[in-house]
Amino acid sequence: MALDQATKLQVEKEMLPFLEKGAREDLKLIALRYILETTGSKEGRDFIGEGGKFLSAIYDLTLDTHDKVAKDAYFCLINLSTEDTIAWKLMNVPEKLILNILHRMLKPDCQHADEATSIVANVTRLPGCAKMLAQQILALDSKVTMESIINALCHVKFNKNAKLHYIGPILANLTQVSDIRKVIMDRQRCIIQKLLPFTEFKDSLIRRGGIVGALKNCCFEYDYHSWLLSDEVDILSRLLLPLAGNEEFDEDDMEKLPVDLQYLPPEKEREQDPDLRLALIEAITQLCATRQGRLFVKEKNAYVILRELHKWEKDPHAKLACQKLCEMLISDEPQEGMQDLHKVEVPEDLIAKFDKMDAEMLSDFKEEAEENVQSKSETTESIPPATPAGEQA
Amino acid sequence: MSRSKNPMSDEERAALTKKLSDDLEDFVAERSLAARKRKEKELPDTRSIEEIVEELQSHPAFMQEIDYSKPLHPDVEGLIQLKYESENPTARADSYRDDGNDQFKKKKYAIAIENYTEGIKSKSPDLELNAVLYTNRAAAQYHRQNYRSSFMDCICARKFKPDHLKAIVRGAQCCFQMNKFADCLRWCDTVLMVDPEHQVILELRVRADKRKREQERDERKQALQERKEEAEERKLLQAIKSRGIRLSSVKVSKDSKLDPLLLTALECHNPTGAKVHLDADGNLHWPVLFLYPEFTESDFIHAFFETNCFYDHLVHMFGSEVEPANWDKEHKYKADTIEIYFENKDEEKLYKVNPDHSLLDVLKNKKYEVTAGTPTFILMVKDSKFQKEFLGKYKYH
Repeated sequence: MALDQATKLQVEKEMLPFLEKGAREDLKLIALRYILETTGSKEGRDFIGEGGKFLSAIYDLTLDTHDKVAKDAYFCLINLSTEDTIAWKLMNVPEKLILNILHRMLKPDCQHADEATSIVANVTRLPGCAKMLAQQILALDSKVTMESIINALCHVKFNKNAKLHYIGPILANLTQVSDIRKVIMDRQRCIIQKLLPFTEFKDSLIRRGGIVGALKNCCFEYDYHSWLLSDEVDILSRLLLPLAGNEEFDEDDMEKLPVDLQYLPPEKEREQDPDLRLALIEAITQLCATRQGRLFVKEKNAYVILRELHKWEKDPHAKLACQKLCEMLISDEPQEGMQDLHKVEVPEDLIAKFDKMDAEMLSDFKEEAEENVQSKSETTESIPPATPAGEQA
Repeated sequence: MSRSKNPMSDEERAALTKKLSDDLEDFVAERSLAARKRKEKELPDTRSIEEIVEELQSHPAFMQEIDYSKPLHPDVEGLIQLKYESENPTARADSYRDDGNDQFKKKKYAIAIENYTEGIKSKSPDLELNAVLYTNRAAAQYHRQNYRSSFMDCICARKFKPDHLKAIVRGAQCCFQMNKFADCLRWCDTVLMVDPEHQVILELRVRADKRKREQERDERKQALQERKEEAEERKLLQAIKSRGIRLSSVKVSKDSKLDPLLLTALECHNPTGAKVHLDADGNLHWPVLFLYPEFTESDFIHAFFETNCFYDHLVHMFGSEVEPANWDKEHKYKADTIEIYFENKDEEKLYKVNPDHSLLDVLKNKKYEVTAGTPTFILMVKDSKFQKEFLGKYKYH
């Protein structure tokens, strides 16, 4: 459907009146159906997204009293928000459209809350959008608070008409912003603590993944490490638990582990998603960047969990990350002045050397994994489609 | 002119006057006599000034504080009734709450509870007041360590006012005290919805979370322990089964699942708690009981290695270098004079045991059945009088 400029203007002129609130319902529905079909292709999305007229018309229709109209309007926006340029545009309209949708979906009786959630998740995928939405949330007069987002996320049955799993990725996206992280790590409140049990949330990979991403992002706040590791939060237990299998350790090793990891039952399984395992390992690695954090992780015997994980791990990236973390935990402490790893400046040539070593190791692991696949014909599990969540690298 | 029928003469009038006057005097005299007699019976008023003052102070017109330990002045009782049996249930509940609060401040929690209970019974339509009464009673119950009652009151308080903060806080504390940590966390989170920076609750939540996870760890540890014990039991039973040894009261069918009775069948009833066990090399060690019916005596062998023979034990216990047992005055029981039998209870028969046979040989005998986890044998002196009599009672095999 190649459209020249003149046709575009023509379509816009003819279609817009039918998308108005006061338009006849049946016509409105047909017009919207057409728009929805158009947004099915990249070209169509670019066309609809061009200029702001369609966007704001569709947005207005999400509040239409006719249920089908509202739903189709949401679907249009979901499709549109997969395009980076349109997502950016939606974020930048002066009416704070995305914040409004966010506010709407955080009400327990919201209709089409799942659709609304997908839009916000799609838009905040872009770091720039996440940053902008974060600023809007953090503004003094904001009608949305981080607490209300986390509250909805941590109440599995928050809205009986919606699952709201995609709040997970939204949170992961928002926590790329340091100020957001500091809000959810308010020491005077209990916010991040509520997220922790969800690292073992079996019902949804999306919700679990988003929360793990958010926790990992929080581990980048080095000043908060000692608090995160203290009894008040005890983040290490919850990061390690999904990485633990059903191995039995001798009494000595067992008693040193955090209580959550002691005497796990035979039916205990590891996190099934390799990306999540990688994120968890990376989060723990971040906690090891400070001397204090690293000593704590060593003391809690995280090593034995990671050692068993390393034996079991098939995914090359997760295995490499796990191996490097293990090595750090069993090696001697670095010399004075180099103990806070995140502050150590590594010369360029060394970085290149390390990268090369990593790449070699990775290809070894990949070969290994391929050999295994050949020897065992494994059934591949299908992973539900997830909106990509941009996490901090 | 009319005249009265019986006009009274002067004499008659004078006589009547005198009689009336005499009657009056007699009456007065009688009354005064009665009064004097009454006074004689009564005790004289010996009260001191202080006592009179005290009596006056207990009169509601002068009193300053009610002392409930002494009997109440009837007038006070009346006033109390007026106060509490007010027509208005809210006013009544209100005064009970005030009194409850006074008692609470004095740490007289039992009395406070009674006051709040009366207040609740007033059935005031004021929801807030009822929530307060229940919450306050919950507080008093909590201080008396009646956590269950306190918790129930917190729930009742919230029926009247779901977001009554003090009730939710108290409820969280009760859950903690009752070791219900998961519930405690839920109540804490409810508090934090109302007041996200509630310091007491934030601290309680950390403690509850920690305790909850410790509790879960303990449960997992316990479960692991049980699984291990069960595996051990299975292994032991398998060892017994594979040797073809019969355990009484249990049918060991080929593919039956583990019968809990099977385990208890191995429980030994001897006070030392000795029990059949499997050593690292896969050999069984049995607790064994030797009975000496002649003297109603017995010996208990803690661990009889299954491949050891009976004679080894007899030599050890009754050999020539061993002191005879204190009941064996005549020194009749010697390794070579003893005969060993076992009893088959179903057949009521005794079977003779060859002392050169191992314990395992005997247990494998299809007539042998192990009862109470302890193989038992009867020992007698060969060809003795007692043996003959004893065997006579059985259908000796």
